[in-house]
Amino acid sequence: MISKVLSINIDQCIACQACEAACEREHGGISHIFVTPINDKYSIPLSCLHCGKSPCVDVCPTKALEKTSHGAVIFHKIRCIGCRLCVIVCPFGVIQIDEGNTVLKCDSCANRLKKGKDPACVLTCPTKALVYEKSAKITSRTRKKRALKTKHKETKKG
Amino acid sequence: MTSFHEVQSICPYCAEGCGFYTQVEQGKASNIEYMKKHPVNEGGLCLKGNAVLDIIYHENRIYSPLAKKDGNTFDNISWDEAINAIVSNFKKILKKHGPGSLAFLTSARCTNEENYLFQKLARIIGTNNVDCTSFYEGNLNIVDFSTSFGSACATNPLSDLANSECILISGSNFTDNHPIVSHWVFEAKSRGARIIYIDHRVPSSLLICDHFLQVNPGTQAVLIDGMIIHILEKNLYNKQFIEERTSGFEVLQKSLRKQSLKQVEKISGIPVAKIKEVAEIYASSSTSAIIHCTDFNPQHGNSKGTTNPANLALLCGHIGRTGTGIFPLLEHNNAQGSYDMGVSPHLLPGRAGVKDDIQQKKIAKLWHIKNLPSKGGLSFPEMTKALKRHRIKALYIMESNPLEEHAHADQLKHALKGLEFLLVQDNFLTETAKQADIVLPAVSWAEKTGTYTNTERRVQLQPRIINPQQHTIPNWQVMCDIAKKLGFKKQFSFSNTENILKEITKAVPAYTGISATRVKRTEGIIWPCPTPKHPGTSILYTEHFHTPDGLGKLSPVFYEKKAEKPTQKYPFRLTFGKAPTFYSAAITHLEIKSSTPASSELFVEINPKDAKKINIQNQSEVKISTRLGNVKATACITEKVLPGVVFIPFLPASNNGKILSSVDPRAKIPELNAATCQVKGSGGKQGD
Repeated sequence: MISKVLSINIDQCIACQACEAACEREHGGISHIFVTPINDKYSIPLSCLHCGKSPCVDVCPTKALEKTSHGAVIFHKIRCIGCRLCVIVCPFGVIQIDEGNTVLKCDSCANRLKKGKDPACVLTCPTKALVYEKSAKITSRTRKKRALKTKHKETKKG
Repeated sequence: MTSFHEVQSICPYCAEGCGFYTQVEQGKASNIEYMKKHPVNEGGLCLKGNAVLDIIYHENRIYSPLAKKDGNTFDNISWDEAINAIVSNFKKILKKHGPGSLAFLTSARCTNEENYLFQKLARIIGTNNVDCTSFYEGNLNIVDFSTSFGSACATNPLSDLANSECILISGSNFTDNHPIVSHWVFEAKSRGARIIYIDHRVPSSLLICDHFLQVNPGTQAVLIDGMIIHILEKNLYNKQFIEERTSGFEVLQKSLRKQSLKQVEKISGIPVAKIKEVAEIYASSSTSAIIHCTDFNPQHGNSKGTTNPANLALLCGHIGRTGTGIFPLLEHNNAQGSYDMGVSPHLLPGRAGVKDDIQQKKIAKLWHIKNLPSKGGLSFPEMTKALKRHRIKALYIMESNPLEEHAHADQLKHALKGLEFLLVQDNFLTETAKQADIVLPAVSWAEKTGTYTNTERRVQLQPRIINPQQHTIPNWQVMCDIAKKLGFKKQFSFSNTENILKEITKAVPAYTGISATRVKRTEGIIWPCPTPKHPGTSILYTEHFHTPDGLGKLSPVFYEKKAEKPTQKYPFRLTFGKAPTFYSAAITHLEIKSSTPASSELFVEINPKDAKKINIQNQSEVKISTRLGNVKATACITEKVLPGVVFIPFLPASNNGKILSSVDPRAKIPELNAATCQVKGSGGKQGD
């Protein structure tokens, strides 16, 4: 069962790159999250989405990538042969491979989660554009926001 | 597993004063952790905040006093040798040329305690030649508020923005420079607030605002005047507030009678209908706030860039209540505090003028001296001029690097050569330090104990996180050593920073009730805090203003100068701003890691239409020339800027310095948003 997921309040990303800096700090100088400009005006911070049907897990010949019961896609360095298949199939381009042929991807800050702390990118986000919550909570908030917007529009008209 | 403990910390970069924890492992600062309960940032930290530890163990830090040998080489010397050399040089120059030949420059990155001692040293020696270099990057945008409201500072805490129904953002590129502020703006927006954003350049996220008004560079103030004209015409102002709480209404009304919205449209480039629309939103919302920032201040034809927003707020009565007010976003972590401490050629601690008899007597008594120097001192730009004329013989610079951070670097560098003695105290052997006769190693933020006052007036304590490394000695101790040897033993016999804070509370009325124990709390204390039991004052002017008559002063703004107009030779308006990776010298030594490799190179933003006209490609190298000089940069073709306008980030100032000239007459800030320039592809054809 998935407990919490990483989500993005897409309209709140100001492309400040704080998440990248935080991820670098937590992961020995390499960021696994990428602030990706959509156009001149908008950006989204993109990292591993821990897909339900993860293509990277499917293609990994050595089971170095594994989908856990908590829903996270995790990486076992010891099993990796550096074939790069996961990099090729990832639809979001958020899996990297370093010079030592080791796969680098978001691990949901597993070390932090163990200590009961949320992922670094989420906590550092100045605008709370990145959230780590139960999926139901996220969607209900989105609905609330939507409702507020409609209501606000009506009052403006009236 | 090794054990660590967490120390409450304040971010040493911008004036938001975000909180976090530093993890200390075996005496070393090993990592940081987010502080969810901090009232400013609720855990969030920007790019710079995540890199706070880098400076502490940076390989370029200096740890020993240095004496210049010849040309560019230095010898390590002992602290005793250094202090003796400094004192004998100061004594010699004082004897020969008098106290007016000495000058003192500090930085708004130093603690309240350090800057208090610094100005005390200057004034006890007998000169008001003391200033803060950081004030000249547009940071003085608080000064005009003392005329309008009586105090030069922000009116409400940042978190109070969430309670606003309308937020007017003027010239503040805060999504890049003060990202945490965005949190509160988004919070307000999610509660239904309407956000009006006025700037000459598109912010990094347009989703933050409901109305974006892309004005011609340097015309925000005119646009605000336009809003005021409409508010006056339609009687949208708060009559009761104007009658009971303000003065100068008739004069303001009269001064604007001659101006029309059509004119405003012509100058600002914003259609009349839009000006009317946003004016109505601001005036009719029950709570409206104004945010403004560095970009807003130095502009042509209107040196009082902050008077217009103050007028607007007073006119609508959007001040002195929750959800209202004005938020000038200062740049350096202790800009507000340094100002409060009297690091100014014209102001004593407590922000009273140097000629103010009462405060002067009070301070003289506190310092056990007969009288203070009553002649106004030289400001930083004036010092540069005085240096050129060899009127200053000795200069003491603390943690400031004007040769890399400021305009006119070339001139200043040349002028410094005429000094008999230059003392620089810094973490690094900066370009400025390289010119010095004696360089003293400063301790980094984590090795200091002291208080900082953020842009909300929140005084927060930064306890020492790690011991001073190697042979470094805290700045306050060094200043005390120098002062004692100069014969001011009684005045500088402090045993710790807490004692200095105690003296500050006696010198600065707004800090009276503050103590080290009280500011230790996560939320600090927001001044004014008149008594030890007083909780602090988060919202100012709830009942009266701090002006002599207690009324808010509406003052007309006159436009004296004409901006440099684009010509055939210089067809573009050159605008400046801060980009996150170009923060200040502290960062230039850090090279913050960033996934965009080009971000640490100087870039220039240019509209696609212009790029096509002058035939330059994206990411190609171009040369930007003004009447004063030129600089090379990478072209970044984007619709973020209007046609006819180019934008370059501040710094490396050694480059910017070459193409800037005039200084704003009132605040004496280098005028940044007014120059015209030419852009040319390297090797390409010149545009016209």
